[in-house]
Amino acid sequence: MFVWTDKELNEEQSAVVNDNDNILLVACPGSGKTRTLTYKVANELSKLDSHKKFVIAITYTNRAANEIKERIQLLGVPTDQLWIGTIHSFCNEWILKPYSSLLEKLKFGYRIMDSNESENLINEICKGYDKPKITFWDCKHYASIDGIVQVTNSGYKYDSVSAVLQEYFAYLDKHNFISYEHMLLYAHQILQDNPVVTKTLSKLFEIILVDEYQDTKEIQYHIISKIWNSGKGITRALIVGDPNQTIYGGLGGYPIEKEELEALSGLNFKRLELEQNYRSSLSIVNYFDRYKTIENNVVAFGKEKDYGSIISYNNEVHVDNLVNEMSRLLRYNVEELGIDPNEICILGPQWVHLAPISRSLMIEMPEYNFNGPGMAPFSRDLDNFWYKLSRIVLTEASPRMYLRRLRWANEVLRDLEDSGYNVDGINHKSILRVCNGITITETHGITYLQLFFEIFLEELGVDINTNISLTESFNSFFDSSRKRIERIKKDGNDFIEHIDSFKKVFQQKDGTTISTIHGVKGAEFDTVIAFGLLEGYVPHSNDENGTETANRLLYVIGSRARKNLHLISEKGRKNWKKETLYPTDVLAQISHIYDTV
Amino acid sequence: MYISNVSIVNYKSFKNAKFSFKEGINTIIGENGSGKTNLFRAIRLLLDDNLLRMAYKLNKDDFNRHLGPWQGHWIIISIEFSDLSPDEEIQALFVHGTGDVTEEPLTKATYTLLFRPKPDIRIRLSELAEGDTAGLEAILDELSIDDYETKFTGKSTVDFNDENVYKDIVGDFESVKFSYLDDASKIGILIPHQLSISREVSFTFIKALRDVVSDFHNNRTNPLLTLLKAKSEDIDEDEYANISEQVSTLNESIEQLQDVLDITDNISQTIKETVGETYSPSSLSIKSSLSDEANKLLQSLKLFIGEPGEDYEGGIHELSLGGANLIYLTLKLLEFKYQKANETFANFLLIEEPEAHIHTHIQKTLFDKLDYGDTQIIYSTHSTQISEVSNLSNINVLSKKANYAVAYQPANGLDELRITKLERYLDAIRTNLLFAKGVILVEGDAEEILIPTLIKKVLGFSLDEIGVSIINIRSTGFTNIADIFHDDRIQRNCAILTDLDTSITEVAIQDEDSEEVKKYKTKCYNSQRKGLERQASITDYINDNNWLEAFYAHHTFEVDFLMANNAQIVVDIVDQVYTDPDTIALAETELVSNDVAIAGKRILTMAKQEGKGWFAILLGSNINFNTAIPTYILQAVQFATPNINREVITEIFNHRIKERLSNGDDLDFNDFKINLVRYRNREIELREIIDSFETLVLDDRGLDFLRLF
Repeated sequence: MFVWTDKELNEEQSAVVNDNDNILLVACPGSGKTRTLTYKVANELSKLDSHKKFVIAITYTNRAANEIKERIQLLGVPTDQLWIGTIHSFCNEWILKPYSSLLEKLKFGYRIMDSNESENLINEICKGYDKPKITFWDCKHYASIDGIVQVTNSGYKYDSVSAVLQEYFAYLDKHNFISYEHMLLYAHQILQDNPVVTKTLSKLFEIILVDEYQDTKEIQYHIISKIWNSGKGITRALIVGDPNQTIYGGLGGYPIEKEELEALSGLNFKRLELEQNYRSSLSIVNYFDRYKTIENNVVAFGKEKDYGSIISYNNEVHVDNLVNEMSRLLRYNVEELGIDPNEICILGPQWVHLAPISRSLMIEMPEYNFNGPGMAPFSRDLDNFWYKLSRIVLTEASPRMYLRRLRWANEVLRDLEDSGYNVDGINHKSILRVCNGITITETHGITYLQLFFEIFLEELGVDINTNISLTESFNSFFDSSRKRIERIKKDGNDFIEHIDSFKKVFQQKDGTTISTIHGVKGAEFDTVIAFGLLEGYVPHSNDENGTETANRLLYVIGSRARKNLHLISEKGRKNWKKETLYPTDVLAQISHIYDTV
Repeated sequence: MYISNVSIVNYKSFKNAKFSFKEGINTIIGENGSGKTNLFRAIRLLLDDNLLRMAYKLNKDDFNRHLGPWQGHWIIISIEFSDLSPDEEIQALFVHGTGDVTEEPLTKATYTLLFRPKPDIRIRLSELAEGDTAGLEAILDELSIDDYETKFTGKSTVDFNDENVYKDIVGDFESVKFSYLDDASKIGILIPHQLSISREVSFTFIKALRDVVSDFHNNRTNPLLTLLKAKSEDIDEDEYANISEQVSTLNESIEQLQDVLDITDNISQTIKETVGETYSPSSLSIKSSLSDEANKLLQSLKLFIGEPGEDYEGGIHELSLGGANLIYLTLKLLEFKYQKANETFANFLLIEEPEAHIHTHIQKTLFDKLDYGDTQIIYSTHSTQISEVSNLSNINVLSKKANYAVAYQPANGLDELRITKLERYLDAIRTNLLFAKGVILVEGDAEEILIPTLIKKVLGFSLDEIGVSIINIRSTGFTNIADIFHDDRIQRNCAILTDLDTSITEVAIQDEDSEEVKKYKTKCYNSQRKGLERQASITDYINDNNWLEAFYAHHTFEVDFLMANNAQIVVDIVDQVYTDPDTIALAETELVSNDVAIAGKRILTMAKQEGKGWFAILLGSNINFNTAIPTYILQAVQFATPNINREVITEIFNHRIKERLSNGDDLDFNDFKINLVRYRNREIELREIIDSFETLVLDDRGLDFLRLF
């Protein structure tokens, strides 16, 4: 029996863990959502009375999945019967792979095109379109129950975007690829056409938990609901999230209403709330509460509740002095307020704005460490076999890393097997042993990895030349890495090619975080510095629900901070039409007496 | 859920075999070496959790020899399960892995083992141009067993026994057409690692009971230990504490025995005296080490059993072999019952040759009373005393061919009524019909008695030797048994031997005929008419069934025998039939008549008087090597053994020569014997050796048979 104390969970959290009804849980920022979910899963696992039943937890990212899984293991609960991962992995593992024989498109096997490959491919196709010029961003699309939805659905770019996407889909079809969006589409189709599949799955799943439901798309609700519906209560449900933090609306995500969810799933849901914020000071809570778009209660409850927060807003600084202003704020927080630099986060609207800021800050403040985007020499592509192998290659064997590396080795092994290799003679431990036994003196990162992979394959007796999927992911991994290195070198970082830069990717993160607003989902910091709060960026110029999106983004920014919050709408930025950008309306219209720094 | 089909392609003795099973108890019948053990091995590869992982890696000896070069071929073992339900939660995981979701409602599942070339080899094969035989051979030549992989799939939908399916998924070796991609909708979907199908069902295999006593003595195979081990895990700790305490006390008491203490002292003393104080151990004691741990203590328990009707209880080794085997089987069944409690929803029990040491009667009782609900039992036997013969639908017959074995289902495709009839007759004759290589159905005692004697005396071999069974169906009609020989069921030749009953006399009634003659003629006519009707109905029944053929005595067996120039043999027994000298003389005259109306009538009269069976026995004692066998009988024997081999034919010649010489023939057979050796060594053909014999002997009764081939 799994038990916990009131030090671990508060009353409202315990209530959720103990409740056996189907739950729609609205959790305000800082309310211990992940902790509650972790305990809920642990409790469900410990209650299973058959080895044939599974607890399914669907998270927004793989990172969140790993984090929750590790936490559950730390609680001493076996996770053999836990399946946790993103909705895409769920569809692949439980629906597409085991039932691929049911779809003409999948029955000869298929390969998944990872996000990086997709982006490269679409960009490549876009090059063929000149008037008007279009990019990957214009070609955003998502799966819905009626098919693929193109986000650019009108205007002068419409025809070209449609043509690019048609070309892209044709390429996927021809090469037996399926994209992330197609995974959802096909999974939905299989469940829709084969009631026996949903029936079988519902008998296997004790409960399905969905995290971050506010960013869940319609088709995803449909996929999960089909299983709930078929089980008629055999498979229970818990969905948790914060509707006020809906920030992927542009890609179809929305916080489902209780009534709609009940109609879809055929289940009755109990609506519960976590309204105690353990994260932020009262002033911060009061500030971000003003951006809420959906009525809820947030009560400051944490030990920083009475912290004398500084909330500042700068709409005077010119973009040319932005780095100076940021370094001033950083120094002020660290040197005057005694904030740990690791607990500070700099947020910008898009990746493109962050890379130059990162580089300039590193030059401006050499005594500080930064963790930013575009600083890794290869992309974080969790589905790529070579990325997975790199994690083992680029980390040192140490007792602290042992379990994690063993898990990575296991993933490598499974991938090898899935690609059709005979792995009878090897296990995850022997993979680690082979990796640990390879020593290479090369300092050029890419060459180092290539040499390593070569020896590794030779030791295992694996010939990748006969395997299309491994060869392609190999090329994709190194192509994207070369492009990244090129870009970073252009920004002035010559050290990026060195193997140490490669190894740094997997080292314990240290320093001030630099991230997009979307990228800090679920994270928290003592101090948050956000720039680029301009109409056109926040919200994006082609966002139809601009006001709502701006509110939600500001809600997310504000609620990341425990103590201090610095907002910047810099002057002097222009859009591609050379029009000057002005501060975000929603922000400008709020009347608040800001602190001065 | 139960196993409904097992398809085996290219594995061991099976080139391409399909077994069908029913719920409940199933029997595999087969002669020794026909592959019963191989079938069980195949099933165990898929379902037996106790089989070592190493076993899945097959090797080149596992390929069927009939295949010739195995390189490039696949071994496929596929099990089909029936009677599943997607509604039952306990089956969900099994259905998820193996269920045939293309059928609504879902009731079937398949689980398949594929042993096939690794992907790189298959890619190379798929890249060959169509017809590139040289390229194909180049690849196949260098293939070794290390280039093979074992894969398990679920949800396959194709019939692997269909040769076109094999060509489609494995490749066409003749025209060199191979594809690389696996079509999941055909061969099924790879079973993921996390899912162990064998864990979902409970499976017990009981091997042929050979040395059961040593099994009891071996810790690994002792079924009692397995049971005790299972139980020791859930022993009540409080209850056991008491025992554990007693064991400690017991240990102490033993150690405190005066004799034990004395020995301890004496050892110490002796050491001190011999090596001196300095080198002596500082302390020394004798301890009793009876274990107080529950699992060890329980495992020290032994079974003591008294034979039925005896007072003495002895250890396993003192038991009769039959008794020991019965205990062994019982414990295994119990083990199976324990296993069943372990969240599995279907139970499979494979028993190899239970008759080895257990009387069939006990067996029958044992299986009859065995009722563990969702349990399917498959057992193999080579006994003709088939305990479950009355259940024909649950039988698979294994038949050995040159380099492979085939499986027949004797009741396949027959309706309930016909199966019931068949079962009734089979049960009555209890014959080795199901084992025979060929069958001759006769409808009288005379044929049953005389045909084996005729063959033995004239041709020198017994029908048993060549695997031909003569089945006397008496008055029950051929069709009820002949049903079993069919493309869909047992594929062996079956000759139907019957009388056409053509009248031996003119049947047209003349005005001058006496009443008695008129009556006799009418009777003859009626028989003749019925004979023609029977012939029409048999012809109609056989229709295009190539496994059946009918052979007719023109009149009746006795008449045809007599008229085949065997009058002397019948004459020789006249004095055993009649005592009156006049009658004897008349009978002898009539029997040698060339007129069938006279001779035929006499032999029928004699047979009727003695009873056909006894008359046949009388005749049999007089048959010699020169007796002529009626042609229709020879034709029936020939049909039943179409592939009689050179050894048997050589033996026929040797028999003929031996009989001729010992009966005063003075021919020189030496040159012929040289030819006979050449024939046997396949240097010359049957036609030539027959000619060679003919030129020497002019006429011979053995040739009557041989000329048919």
